[in-house]
Amino acid sequence: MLLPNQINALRSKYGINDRLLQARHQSGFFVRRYRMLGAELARAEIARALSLNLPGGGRMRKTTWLTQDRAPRRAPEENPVLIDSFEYRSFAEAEQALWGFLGEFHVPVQLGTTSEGVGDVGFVTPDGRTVAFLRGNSLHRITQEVPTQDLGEVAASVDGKLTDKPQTAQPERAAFEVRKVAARPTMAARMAPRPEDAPTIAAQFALDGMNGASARTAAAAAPVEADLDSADGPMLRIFTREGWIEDDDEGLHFNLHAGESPDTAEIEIYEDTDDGACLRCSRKLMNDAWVDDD
Amino acid sequence: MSVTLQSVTFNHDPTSSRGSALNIRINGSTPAQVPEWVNGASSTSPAAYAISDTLTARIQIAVDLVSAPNTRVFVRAIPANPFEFNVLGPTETATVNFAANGKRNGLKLTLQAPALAQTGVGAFDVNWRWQYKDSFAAPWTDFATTEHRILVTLQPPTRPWVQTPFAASNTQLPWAEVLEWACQWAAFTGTPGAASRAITSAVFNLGPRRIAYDCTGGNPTNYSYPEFDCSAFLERLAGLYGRGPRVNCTDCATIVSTFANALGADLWQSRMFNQVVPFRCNMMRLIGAPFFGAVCGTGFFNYHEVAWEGACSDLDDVFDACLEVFFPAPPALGLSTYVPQDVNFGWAFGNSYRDYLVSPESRYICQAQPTTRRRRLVY
Repeated sequence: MLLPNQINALRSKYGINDRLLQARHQSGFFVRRYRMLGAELARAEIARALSLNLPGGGRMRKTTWLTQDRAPRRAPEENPVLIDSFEYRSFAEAEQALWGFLGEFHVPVQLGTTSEGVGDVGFVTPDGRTVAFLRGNSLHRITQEVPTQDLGEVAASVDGKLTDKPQTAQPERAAFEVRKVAARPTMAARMAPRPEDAPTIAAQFALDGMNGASARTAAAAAPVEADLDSADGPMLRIFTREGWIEDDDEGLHFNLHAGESPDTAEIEIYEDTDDGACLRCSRKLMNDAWVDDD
Repeated sequence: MSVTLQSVTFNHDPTSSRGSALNIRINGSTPAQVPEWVNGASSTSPAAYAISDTLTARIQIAVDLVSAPNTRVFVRAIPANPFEFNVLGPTETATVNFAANGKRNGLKLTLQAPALAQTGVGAFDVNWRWQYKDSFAAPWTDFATTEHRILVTLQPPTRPWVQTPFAASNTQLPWAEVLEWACQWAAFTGTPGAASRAITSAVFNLGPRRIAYDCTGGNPTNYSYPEFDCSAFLERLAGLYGRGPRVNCTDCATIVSTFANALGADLWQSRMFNQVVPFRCNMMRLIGAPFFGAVCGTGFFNYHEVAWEGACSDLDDVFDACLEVFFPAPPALGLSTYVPQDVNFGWAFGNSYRDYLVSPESRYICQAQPTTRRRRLVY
């Protein structure tokens, strides 16, 4: 939201040196599909988590943490720690997002900076209720209505978990296959009172090797995100703009929206490993065959 | 002979809202159920109608019935309680020919005299008594009663809300939970402008119990950065924590425009500011504040964001649920106060919104920034 001259003014105001920032970027820290595991905050638990992909690229994950030392309160008076994590496709986009966030302060305020080592660059509000820091391609915002703990320490903990996490350079492939199947009525079609009311699809694909998994469409803007829970395997996560996942008695199916071309349709599949790293497995449909995108 | 009602479908034509209900979902995580009413189901889904789309088309519903094979009956639905207001009214009588399997699916029943246009925006309970008779001269026999929740909007929703694709994965279909609040706030209004004004007032009046402006820490955007966490806001409205009480102008602008657009208004979120310096404001009462005063003690805004019509320029009207201002604008003696709504942004000293908000010395430097206009997605 900020204009270039406003960004320059902020850089100058807070002494953010481009070269320093660039040097930090050159450390190469790059996070993909980062997901909080619940150990980032001592004596706290995740009460609510939500992911969505941002328009124009990027991804947001919001977590609401309830601290165990909270006094018993009624729900509206809960005082959770909110951590919003944003991933972007590049360092430059993340930096733009940081400036954008600083542009969201409605009244003039002199922000402090976080301790050395917390993020590439970070800010804290004078009242200590909001901390935002940039690390590589990710931006993190931590807020608490009544700060019962030092959010700077919380930021340091989150940043520590973030940077401790092994980042894989080579994406691994999830162990399943996608094959085109003869299209049959989707669940939406079966729910429609008349055949002509049903959303039409261009093609249908079966996701093989995912027995026992079930699809649960999460709240998301666009594209679609589906979490696949499996009792005997890792959680898989699927993103797609061009269709949707259905879970029926014959397994998991991907339905390609009518009007979408198999030549350009793409799904991204991620496997959440034990240590929380999400390994990328992106596939693109070309000429009716799924091929690796990486 | 008996007749069984299997289902009632209001949204029987997802490709059009003329004569059919709108495509909606319950909230960000739950799609709506179609048919909206199913015999024996533990829950029903609400249905929503846009008045503008039903003015020139007769509203129909689709029902599935079961009876003895190869029989013919007359069927209708009438208000369960003739002394209660029923926005949909009775249906016309339809002749039903049951097939050899005893089923008649997708039977269209036309509403005889719906009162959508007369009542305007609203959320209504509709209770129907279903009746049949097997000959023209026979008396009517009751065979079912159903309860429905009907949400009435003015026009089909505008962005961020969409009507297509009608799929469970499309989270930008209008949320029934949003429509419930919007219909409550803008009840009985008949134009998008009136609905937007009512919503603006209602959002401002949520303070200080539900939401409030908080000056400490610069008050960054809470619910709507970078998109609108509408799920959290609905939680807040329901008495839960959501993302807490803190809101700023961006949050208020997003709430007003998103809820008004669900009813068919056409608002944007857009900003005003000066690229170099903050601007000084008049005395005002921020949302949730008990009294008028200088903004956060200093009197300055870095920027301000409101729900804005049209191109979000000086010529267009704004709706600002974040604050209450004196009227007329200083330096005149403010004799009354009001929450700015449907008022032209205007020029400096033109006795418009800019004058109500901005102090005289800053009126020339506070500028509308139409390039910032947007409609945040909901999640």
